Amino acid sequence: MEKIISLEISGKLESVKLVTLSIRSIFSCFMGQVDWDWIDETEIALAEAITNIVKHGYRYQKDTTITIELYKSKVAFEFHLIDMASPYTIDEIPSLDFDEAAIDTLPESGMGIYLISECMNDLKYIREKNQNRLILVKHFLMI
Amino acid sequence: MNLTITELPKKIVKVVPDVKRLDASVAPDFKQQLQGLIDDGHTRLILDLNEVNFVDSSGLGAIVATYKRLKPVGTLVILTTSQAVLTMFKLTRLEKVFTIISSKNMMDAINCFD
Repeated sequence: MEKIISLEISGKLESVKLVTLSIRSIFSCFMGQVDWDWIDETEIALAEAITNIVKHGYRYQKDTTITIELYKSKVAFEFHLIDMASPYTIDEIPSLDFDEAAIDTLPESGMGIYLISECMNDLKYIREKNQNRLILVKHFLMI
Repeated sequence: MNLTITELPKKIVKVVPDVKRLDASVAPDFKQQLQGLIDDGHTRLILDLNEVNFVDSSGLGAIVATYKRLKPVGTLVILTTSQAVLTMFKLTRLEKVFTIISSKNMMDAINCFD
């Protein structure tokens, strides 16, 4: 796999848009392999994943960092999100079940992992050297 | 973040957030301000998201919370042509719950009210 770029941000919510706006610019150079719908879905997945790290991993701790590495293989782009928060597990992807007619069942939270799985082709988690590495894989178009 | 509020005919209120992104960094404030509008007696809302180009699940959750609060007594119409915003509603199937008008013309939203 070829490493395209690595970004390091502060582990705070205000930094999320720095990553997603950078990613939009980067992928405008890969049109043909991706399109704007692809980029929109990628932005959603990355925003949800980084927000989860800030909220649930670091619990809004100050002086924390998140590294985002972008790799390109023959069929996909991989986003590696690396943080130093406590380990976690992704055993199963939660479904988004609600009854459209029953207002009390409409979701106000807990949609993040579901959205990541909808927007990406694969989702992997590795714990190594006291770091969490969340890997989001998204195929090129026409794969 | 701030909301620009404009009173329209039929006791409708147009609400425009002054941000490009409705994400976790602004969602709590956004939700609080919307709920304040309802507390003030405004129950016919047009949420104009035409200047917003990204909504994450926290922003969406704030809109859902507002809808839940409003639904028994009022109406919420969402106005947006942003594909990224529309994608978020489609991915979560919430497009089937909300009245979403894909237009920049305010009259298209006003016509949704009785």
